[in-house]
Amino acid sequence: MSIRPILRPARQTDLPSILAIAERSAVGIGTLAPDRDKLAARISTSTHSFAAGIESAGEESYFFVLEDTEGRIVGTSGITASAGFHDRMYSYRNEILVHASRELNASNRIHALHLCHDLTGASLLTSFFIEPELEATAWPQLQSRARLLLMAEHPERFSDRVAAESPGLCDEAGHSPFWDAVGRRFFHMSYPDAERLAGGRSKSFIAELMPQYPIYVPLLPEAAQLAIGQLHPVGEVPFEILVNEGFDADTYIDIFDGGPTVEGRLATLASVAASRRYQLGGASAPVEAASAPMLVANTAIESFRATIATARMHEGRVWLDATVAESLDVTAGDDIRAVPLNLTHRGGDA
Amino acid sequence: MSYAIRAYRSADGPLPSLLQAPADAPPAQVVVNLSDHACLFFRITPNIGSADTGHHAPRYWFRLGQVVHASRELDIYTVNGTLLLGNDLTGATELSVAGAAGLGATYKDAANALARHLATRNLPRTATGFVLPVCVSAMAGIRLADGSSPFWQGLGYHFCGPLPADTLDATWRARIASLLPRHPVYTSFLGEGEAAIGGVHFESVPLFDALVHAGFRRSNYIDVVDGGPVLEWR
Repeated sequence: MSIRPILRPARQTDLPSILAIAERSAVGIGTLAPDRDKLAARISTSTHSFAAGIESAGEESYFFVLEDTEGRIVGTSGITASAGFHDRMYSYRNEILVHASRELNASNRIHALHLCHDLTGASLLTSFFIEPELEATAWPQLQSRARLLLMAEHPERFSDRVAAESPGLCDEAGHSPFWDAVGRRFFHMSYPDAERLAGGRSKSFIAELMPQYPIYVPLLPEAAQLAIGQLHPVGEVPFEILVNEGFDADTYIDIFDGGPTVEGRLATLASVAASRRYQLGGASAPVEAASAPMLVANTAIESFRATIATARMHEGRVWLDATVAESLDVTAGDDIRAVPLNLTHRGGDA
Repeated sequence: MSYAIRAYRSADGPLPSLLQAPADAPPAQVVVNLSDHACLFFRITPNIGSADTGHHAPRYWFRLGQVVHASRELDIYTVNGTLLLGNDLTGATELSVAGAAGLGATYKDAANALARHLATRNLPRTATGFVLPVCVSAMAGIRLADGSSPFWQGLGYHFCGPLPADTLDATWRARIASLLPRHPVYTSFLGEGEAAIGGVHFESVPLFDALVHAGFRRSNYIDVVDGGPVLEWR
């Protein structure tokens, strides 16, 4: 029997598996704290978000699990509908200042970090985790990009601006060179301690204590300078997927660990722009139908399902194996949203 | 000891080379005459950094500041120093460069005479309402044995490169201002330069002590190059 992954909304019954996953995810800043109560609350919020009729992005957050057909949860991903809702989302924006003296014939490009709230209100892609053995497969594509299919299908629930934070450089003990050079000067403690101290309060509680003036990068120790915009190795797989989607990685960084925060416009992201709505065909596909591996998703919200499948397409209709249709909970005549798995070699719909 | 404050006369003898001014420098010089055999020289320049000094070269200083980051809930309270580039002391009268000739002359006597002279003045106010001290005097900042400046290494170097031989050149100083940081700088980012903020070069300590003894006080301003303190008379 072939293993077919399914991405679907998380349920409370998934909690033990999700907790096990959270315990295995890396040291450093992440949105998957291994805390049973927090995760249960997270699933509960997600369930309400999926169930509610939403006309514009607010305090919703959506939490997905990646499941194999044996029912094992092997990964998670999430969307926060509106970053910093009720508050602000803080980032450092990379700025270049040109300091020049005509008389001295000198011109210097000075890199500075400006504290800003630009990404407040953007939809955030969060909580990406997959079992390490599956990283090299196509499954991370499903886990990450199927979120974009949901967003393309239901744009009123999200912002037209999308961002994603990635963990920055830190060593095994959780020490971050960027935090040590910047945040620590104002907190006098390690970042994990600062986060623990803030308890359940939003990160903006800590952010208000961070330096508010622009930071001149040349004044930082070299290790901190090198850490700016650098990715922790655990973040490489999801980051690469996002960069391939067309997210910009050069503008914003996380204010605590210097990790890159990518951002882009929903409509121009590769998977959104290339995705199409199809009608599920009955019987069998005509011979002239093109065939390609696709990410396919139903168009539901509460019963959202997405998977990877070889699909045949022709004139606005798509044909899927019976097992695929079943896992998506769709029948002939239903709508499907699909995007080629490999965007550089489009399968092409005829 | 008797003393007089007056303008320099060639009969006073040759000026110490430090007091040799460029041709376009403002002419004000003051001599404190301690006896027939000794005199002390200061240059007092009114209205520094202003348009009519002939240079059109604005003067710059770093202003010391503080920022407090506090959270009762998190039991956090930190105070951080800041430096902000500006021209605050524009228009002040500056006491710069001192030299002595002859025997028995001390900075202390001269400083006291100067202080009595200054005590008769009012605090000048600029057109912007900023209250200037009656007189300011910049002390040379800390240098290491190799002549390097820890303050410059911590700050200016990252924006302007290595120091030239003559760091008193007003033209060079005005030009580097466009290369220096314009936003407030947290002093904790200066590494070893932070400790040099307001530090006095050991050769200037006698003058520093004399001026303080006469009533000059540290201000909240430092030199943009070597971080030496600006003393002020109010």
